Amino acid sequence: MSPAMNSDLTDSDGPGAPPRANGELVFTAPWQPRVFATTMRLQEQGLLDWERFRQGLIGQIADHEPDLSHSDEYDYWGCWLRALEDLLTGADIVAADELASMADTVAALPPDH
Amino acid sequence: MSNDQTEAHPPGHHLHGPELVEAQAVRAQALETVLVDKGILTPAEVDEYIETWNRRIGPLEGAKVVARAWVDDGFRARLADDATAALAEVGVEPGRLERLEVVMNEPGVHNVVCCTLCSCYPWTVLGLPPSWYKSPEYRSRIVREPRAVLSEMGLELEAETTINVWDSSSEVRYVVIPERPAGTENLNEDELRGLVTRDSMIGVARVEAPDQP
Repeated sequence: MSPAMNSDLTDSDGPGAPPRANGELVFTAPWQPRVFATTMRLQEQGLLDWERFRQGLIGQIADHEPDLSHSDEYDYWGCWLRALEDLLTGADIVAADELASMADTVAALPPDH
Repeated sequence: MSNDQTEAHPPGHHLHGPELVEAQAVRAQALETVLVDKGILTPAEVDEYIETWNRRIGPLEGAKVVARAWVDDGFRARLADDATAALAEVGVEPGRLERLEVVMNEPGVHNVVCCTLCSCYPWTVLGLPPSWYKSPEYRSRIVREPRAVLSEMGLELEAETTINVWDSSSEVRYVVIPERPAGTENLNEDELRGLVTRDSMIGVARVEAPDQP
C-alpha cells in the first residue's frame, strides 16, 4: 500500500539530522525527503543517469527562478520532483498517464490515509 | 513535459503556498507508489535511505576528516593530494557520484563552497545541504561579493585575507578544512571532532574554541 505520509522528518533530532542547529530546515514537507531518497535509490540501481538528472534539475531551477520576484518560497524540491518525473517518463520507466492516474487515486484518499 | 504536470498546473492557475505543497505531495506519492507497484523500490528502502542520511551520514563524517587533518600532518598532506583515497583512512565513504576535493583554510586564505548552477554539495561528508545553500541569493552573491555575504552570515574576514570561492559541479565537490582554533592544543582528536560544524566545512563560519571554564 502507499507509504505513510506523516513521517515528518523535520522534527527529528541528533547530530546528523537535517540541520536544525543553525536554525535551518532542509525539508519543509514530508514528501521532499521521500523524493530525495527515491532519486538516490534509483541512481544506485542504475535506473537514473545522474548527470542527466542534474541537467534536468538545473533546467527546472533556471525556468523557475524568474518567478522569484514575488514572496514565494524558493521551490527547490518542486524543481527536483519535476526533474525526476521528466527523466523517468522520458526514459519510459514510468508513463505520464500512469502518474496522472495514480495522482488522482492518491488525491482521492482520505487525508489521514 | 508530461501530461500530469499540465493537469497539476492548469494554464492561468498558478498554485501557491499550501495548495502547491499539497499538489506536489500528491505527485510525489503517486510517483513513489507507481515505482513500488512496478517492484523498482519498496517504501522500506526509501525509509532506510532517509534514516541513513539523517542519522549516520552527515556533518559528522566531515568532522572526522577535519579533526584528523588537524592532528596528523601526514594525513593532511595525503588529503590534499588525493582526498578520495585519504577518506578511507578515517572510515568515510567517499561516494561514487563525484570526486571530492578538500580546500584548506590557512592564515590569510579563506575558502568557501557554493554551486552556482544548482546545489551540488558534498553530501557524502556533510549530509544534506542547508536551505540557504540552495537559495538563488547565496548562489549568485557568494561569487560576486563573498566578503559581504560572509559578513552578513556572521563571518568577518580581515581585509587582507584572500577569499577563494569554489563552485561545485557534478564532477567535483569541495569541502573546506577550516583552521584549527587557537586554544585547542590540549584537545584530542575526538574532542576536536565535536567542535567542527557543517557551516565551517562549507566555509561560512569559523570553528570556535570551546568556552574556557
